[in-house]
Amino acid sequence: MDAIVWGVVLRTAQASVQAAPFIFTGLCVMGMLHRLMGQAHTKRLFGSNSTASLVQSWVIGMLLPGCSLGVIPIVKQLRRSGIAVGTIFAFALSSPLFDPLSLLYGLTLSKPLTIVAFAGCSLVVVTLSGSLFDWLFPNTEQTSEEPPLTAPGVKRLLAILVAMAREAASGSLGLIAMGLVGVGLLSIALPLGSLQATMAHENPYSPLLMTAVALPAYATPMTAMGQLGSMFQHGNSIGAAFILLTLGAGMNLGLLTWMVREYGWRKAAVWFGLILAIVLGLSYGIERPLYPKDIEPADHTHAFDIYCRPFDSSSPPSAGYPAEIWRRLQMDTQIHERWGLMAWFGLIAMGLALKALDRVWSVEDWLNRPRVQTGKPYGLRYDLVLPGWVLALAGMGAIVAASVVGCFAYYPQPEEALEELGTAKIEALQAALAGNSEHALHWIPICESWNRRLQVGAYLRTGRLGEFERMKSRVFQNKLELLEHLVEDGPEVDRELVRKQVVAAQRAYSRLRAAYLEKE
Amino acid sequence: MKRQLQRSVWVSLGILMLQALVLLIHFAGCGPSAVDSPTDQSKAGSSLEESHGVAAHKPHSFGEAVEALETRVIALSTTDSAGDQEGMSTKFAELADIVRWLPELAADSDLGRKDWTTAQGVAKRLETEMEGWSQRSTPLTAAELQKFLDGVTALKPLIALSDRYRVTPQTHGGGAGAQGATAE
Repeated sequence: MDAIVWGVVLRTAQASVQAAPFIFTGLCVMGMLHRLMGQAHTKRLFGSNSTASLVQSWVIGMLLPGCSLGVIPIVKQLRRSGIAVGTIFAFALSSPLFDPLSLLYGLTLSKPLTIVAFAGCSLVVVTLSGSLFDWLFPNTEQTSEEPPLTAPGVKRLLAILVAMAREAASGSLGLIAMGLVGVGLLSIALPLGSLQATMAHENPYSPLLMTAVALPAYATPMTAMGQLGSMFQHGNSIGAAFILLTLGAGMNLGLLTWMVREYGWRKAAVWFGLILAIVLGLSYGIERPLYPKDIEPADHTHAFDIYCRPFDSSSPPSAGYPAEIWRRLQMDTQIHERWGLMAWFGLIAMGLALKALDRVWSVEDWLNRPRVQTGKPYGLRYDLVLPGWVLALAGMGAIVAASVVGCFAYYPQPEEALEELGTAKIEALQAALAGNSEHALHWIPICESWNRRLQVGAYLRTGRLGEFERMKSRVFQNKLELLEHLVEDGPEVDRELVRKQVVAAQRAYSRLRAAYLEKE
Repeated sequence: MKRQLQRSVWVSLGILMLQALVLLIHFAGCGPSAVDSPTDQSKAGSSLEESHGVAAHKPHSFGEAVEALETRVIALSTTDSAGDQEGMSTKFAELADIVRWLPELAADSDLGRKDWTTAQGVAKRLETEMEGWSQRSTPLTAAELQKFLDGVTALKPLIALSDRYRVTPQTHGGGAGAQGATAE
């Protein structure tokens, strides 16, 4: 029982950490739409109640980096701006699917066409479901009172921060918490490693099983893309992969709850039914045409372990569950997640403080107070006063630009990636040799991740990835996977076999390094 | 508002329960092959290679693959298919697999970029020649055999270059999966 309860805690905490940077980005976009763009311009940007608006929303969703939890504050703002349901849902479903980081990752997989096809299918899903929904329920635009826009200057920037803080501590927090708890609860239903032998291409139930798993699951675009890559490599069901992307990355329980709360259970159920029917129909339709022919299907994958129970009740951690959870979180948390978490929690604290302050003083009254005319000309000569919507567009453009620039940092030069990979490889191989399976199982996925980042980094800088380099990476990946499975067997494993596999992995790494560093 | 909130919570719980039911049915054994834990799976008797879908006819090294191509294609040109047509088409399919694995096996060797590209080019050529072979159940003609063997001959000089270090095939579970595991 302890293993299950603490497993829920770990899975919820891991999802929170991963989601934090995206939630913060979502709050930034919401703040800009709310305090700079204004309702009328927001409606013009996204459109409403037309097929064109569905495509517009899909494009904006594809450009902005987001996840299914980070999208919650934005869809609430779209609702306040009087945008029709179909358009809002189109944005909500498309925004979490791709971002520049994950798209690059996907395009360097062995079958980039599949990723392009998935993007096309997602457009079909949002336009078809949105059009049908808007036809069934034509009058879903609802206007709400808009607060006065703050005068240009520092106060206008502060107004955005205040809007973000208030939203962070509003009902959005509960919805996000619901989405996160869904991940924890899913781990109760899925025993440790129980999805390892599932999602086979030949199994007609794979897309259905994935549907059941994907809805409460939470995946950032990057996590989902990594899992997709693994599914392609292991010859898993392509339909299940598509469902993982659309429902795993695009949906969560919090978002569904918001839909039910805002539009009632009937409309939400109709929309959800439409989405399920279209997504399932497409997933069965693409299963054969997109299935890679040159892959030998493996009946074993670790791609979905993150949705299952993390602890084995028969062997609890020696230092206790809380210490183990803390250790895992510290080891797995990346720098951008740490900053995202701090920014998100900072906004929640600020929002709660503002709520408490409301009893005695309203910050909005001060922010929106008209400027006292002193007779002097405002500001400096070159201090142009730009309309809020221009600033909002520039702000969102900056977010997109930052995510593109972030690609260069996340996918470094091959030399740098090889250095990181070399360090991780030493840790993994030494641990495997020493019989420290826990340490090896921590470092092998890091090696796999750097192996992928190495390929994307090379592609990003040269616009191509040579077949020779790609094949060397594939061989190294295969060696790592076989080593991972050996190490998993624990103390019962044949040590000589592990030693040989370590040597094979080391040689594959040396050849990989030589392939990337040699002058063509 | 309160009623609406209650309703939405109930709907979410309903969805969650429905999914839990699907998953329960699945893991109770009504669904496709499910395992309880990785340990259970490893105890199920499947070898490391089998669990990764590595076929038994996959060669351990590039050199082995080239040799296998030669012996297998000669056998296919001399075998009388009258008795076992199914076995014949299986052999053709296995030959096609080995050709398909050539670039990967060459990459898992000491071949440099230039030699690897040669091996990949030959593999592509052989693949083109073999189009439709997997469906056939008749022996190869002399011309087909010669064309294939010409390709194999082009690969032979690469064998020595591919194996600059001592290579000992792995024997884990009797399979051929962890090719090229080398004791240096």
